[in-house]
Amino acid sequence: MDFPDFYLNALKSTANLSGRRRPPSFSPPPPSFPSPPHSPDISSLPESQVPDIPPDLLKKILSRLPIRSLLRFRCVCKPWLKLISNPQFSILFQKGKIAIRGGKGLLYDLHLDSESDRVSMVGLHYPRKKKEIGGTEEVEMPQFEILGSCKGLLLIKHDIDFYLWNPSTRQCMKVLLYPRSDERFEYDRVLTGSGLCYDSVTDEFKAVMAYRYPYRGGYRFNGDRGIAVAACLKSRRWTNVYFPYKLKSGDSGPVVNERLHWVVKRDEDERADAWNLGYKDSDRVRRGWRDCCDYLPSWEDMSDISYWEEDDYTTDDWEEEDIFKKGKEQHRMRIRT
Amino acid sequence: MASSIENNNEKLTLKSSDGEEFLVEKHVALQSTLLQNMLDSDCSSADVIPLPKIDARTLALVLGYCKKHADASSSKQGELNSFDSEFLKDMDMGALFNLVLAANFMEIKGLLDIAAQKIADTIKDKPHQEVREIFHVENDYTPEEEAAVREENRWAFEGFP
Repeated sequence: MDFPDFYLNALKSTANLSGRRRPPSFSPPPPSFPSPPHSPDISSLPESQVPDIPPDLLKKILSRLPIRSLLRFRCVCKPWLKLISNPQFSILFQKGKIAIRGGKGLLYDLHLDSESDRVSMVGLHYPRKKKEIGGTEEVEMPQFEILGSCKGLLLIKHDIDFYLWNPSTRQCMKVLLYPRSDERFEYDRVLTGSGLCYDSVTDEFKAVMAYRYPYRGGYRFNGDRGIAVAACLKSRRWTNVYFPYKLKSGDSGPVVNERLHWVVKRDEDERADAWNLGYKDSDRVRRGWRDCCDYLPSWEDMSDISYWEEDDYTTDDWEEEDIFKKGKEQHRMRIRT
Repeated sequence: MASSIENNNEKLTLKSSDGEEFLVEKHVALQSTLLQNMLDSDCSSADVIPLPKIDARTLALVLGYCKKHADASSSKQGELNSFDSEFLKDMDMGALFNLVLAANFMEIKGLLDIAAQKIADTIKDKPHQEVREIFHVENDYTPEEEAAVREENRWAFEGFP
């Protein structure tokens, strides 16, 4: 019979491409025996031989691993190191469910200067600016700001460029340019908060930045309020977000249910609320954070909060016990809507 | 398009790498995109379809999965999920590898996903030396090279040999 091309191609694609392999330490399975063409009893069938996993399948398996495992498995062999460090591999990550471990985890070797709010990397390889992906010329980036993290990627600003950085592969991708010609960026604004979140509906990452305007000519521009800008990393469009609030903490909160949270304050009302700025229209998702404002997490502690399981999150009825970590102490508090 | 697809009672024969033949109902075979495409094209259903990369034991497992999912496609997802986890529960690595390869070859996405996830879950907390054994990979690092790669990510190895 004639088999169609896709069948033959499928056969070829399963050919062993994974290079050297240790000879198996067990004997080959016993020869098969003829049997009638009915689904045979599984226990009567000979043991399967352990097969080689071709690279494309290996990629599918490894992309399901947490970052920590991947970092260790770079030591398995050189082909694995190459695979895990491949730029294509980081693309898989963007769709995976991998959380950055803050504080004691992945960013363990980050040096956080709380005064300047700048982060410099010690120990971990920091992002390098490449002329192009795969290019050989590398320029070190000693000073940069981490604007947020989501799904295992960091949003990093260096000079006027924005990068997405995958710490597990050390791949860096330029995603945005600071829109200097845009009138929204004319004024001397102060970046008071930023974050990165992922929108599964449009399958893209969004960078969110909140700014405050300093005094100008004796009066405050835009009152006491800030302004927020969201940028879609796929379409590279910048959008204003309705944001009549002042950020209570400069650091972005956790990304839960694809929403980036912040603690904000209304000028006529001292109550701190958490706002979702993940989408174009910031819809309010929860309030009543007043009691925990004393424990407002620093950037580092915020990373711990991202341990929150998405299942624990309910938009309307927040009665889960939340855990804030402050130093080595753990504060538990119940939040009611 | 082969008219025979409309008849759910028709069967086709699949032949494993070790010569075992399996008689499969068509609606079960349709779980595999590869087989579906073959049935849609001009391959006569009377022929035996050889699957030279898949041994009999693995093919039996794959077809067990397909049958459950074909028969239960309209029923509740929860039931299928518990079947899936039970299906993979006590499977050893060799069987899982074969399943992943077979699912990839036969283009059965659901099976590929759960088997790949199961492998990932099994190895994620294992030391890399053990992962080498599991994947039968030769260590091509010199001790110095391996130490250097390890040093780059020292924290990841805390608590590991």
